[in-house]
Amino acid sequence: LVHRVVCFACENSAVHLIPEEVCLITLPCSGRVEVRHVLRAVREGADAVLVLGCLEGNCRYHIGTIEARRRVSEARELLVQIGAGDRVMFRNLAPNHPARVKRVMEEVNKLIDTVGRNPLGAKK
Amino acid sequence: MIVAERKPMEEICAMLSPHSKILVAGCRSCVAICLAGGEREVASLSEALRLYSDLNSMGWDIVETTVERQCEAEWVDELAPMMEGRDAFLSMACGVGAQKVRERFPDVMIYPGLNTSNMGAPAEQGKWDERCGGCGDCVLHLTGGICPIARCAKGMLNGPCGGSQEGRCEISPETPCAWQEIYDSLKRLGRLDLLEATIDPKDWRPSRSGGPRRIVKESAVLSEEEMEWKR
Repeated sequence: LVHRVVCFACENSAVHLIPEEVCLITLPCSGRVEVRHVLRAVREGADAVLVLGCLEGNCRYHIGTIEARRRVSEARELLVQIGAGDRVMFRNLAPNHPARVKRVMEEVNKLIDTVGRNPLGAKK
Repeated sequence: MIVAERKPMEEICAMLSPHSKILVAGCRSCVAICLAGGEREVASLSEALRLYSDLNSMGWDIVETTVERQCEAEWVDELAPMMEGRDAFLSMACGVGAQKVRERFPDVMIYPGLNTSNMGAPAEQGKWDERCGGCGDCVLHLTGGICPIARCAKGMLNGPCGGSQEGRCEISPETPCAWQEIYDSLKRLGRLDLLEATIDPKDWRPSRSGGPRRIVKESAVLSEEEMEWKR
């Protein structure tokens, strides 16, 4: 079974390195991601949601990565409280980080192994 | 501003469990500023409730909206079209807003999505501190602009208690002693003489002890004729 992974990524981060099997949603900045986007992805059946921002301090809009990190943590809190499990992750990646992208994808798979597949995925 | 925080999801989901058609409504005033019940928080909570519903086969139909102020009838009226056919209303406003909605829509079960805490102000991003106890008999002019009711754990009126240590309150090392702050403020202002005077025992009748309070500004009250004309 292939894991269903949704990735919200800043267009200035490592978007072109994301594997094809990942559902990639490119944003002008990771700070544009909202809590409801993460929750909606899980409701649509995502086993994990990855939010990718630029390296800290490299955000074109200065505070985008800070906002994204804050919202991911808020989404995580809600997911855990409603029993959907911690299946969201925020990482900082630059476009010249192919090895690190691979490591992040391994971390995503490990996260899914820990939290389990999304029961809503089978219904979609 | 009124400071509030969202109730735990477990409590909200349990409250809503007997219902199916739910309207979640936020408020763009105080609770939006304290990141508890504004448009964004309503969107997050509504999506979380939909997800909870799908995961647990609750069959909830969640509709969301946010009004300018839930504590004023004019804005509450705007909810009327969305309220049709709803059997539960989850208010993401303070307790005042939730009650104003109940007054306007008495046939719909109203649930509070937030715990309303206090009258406070932002200290820094994500932190809000209580500033006013709403005692109805302000003494800020005697205490260097620092409220001994809201900011002293014991509401002391004539100096600190024995729990004041190095400017901190005994309830927590993070809580400044209000009376230390009052002293520092009056010293800065050159008004330490104010500490010489004893503040009389407080009249608590204008506070919560006297029951629900109503403020009347006679000049603003409409006569029956004016009410008729306005209608």
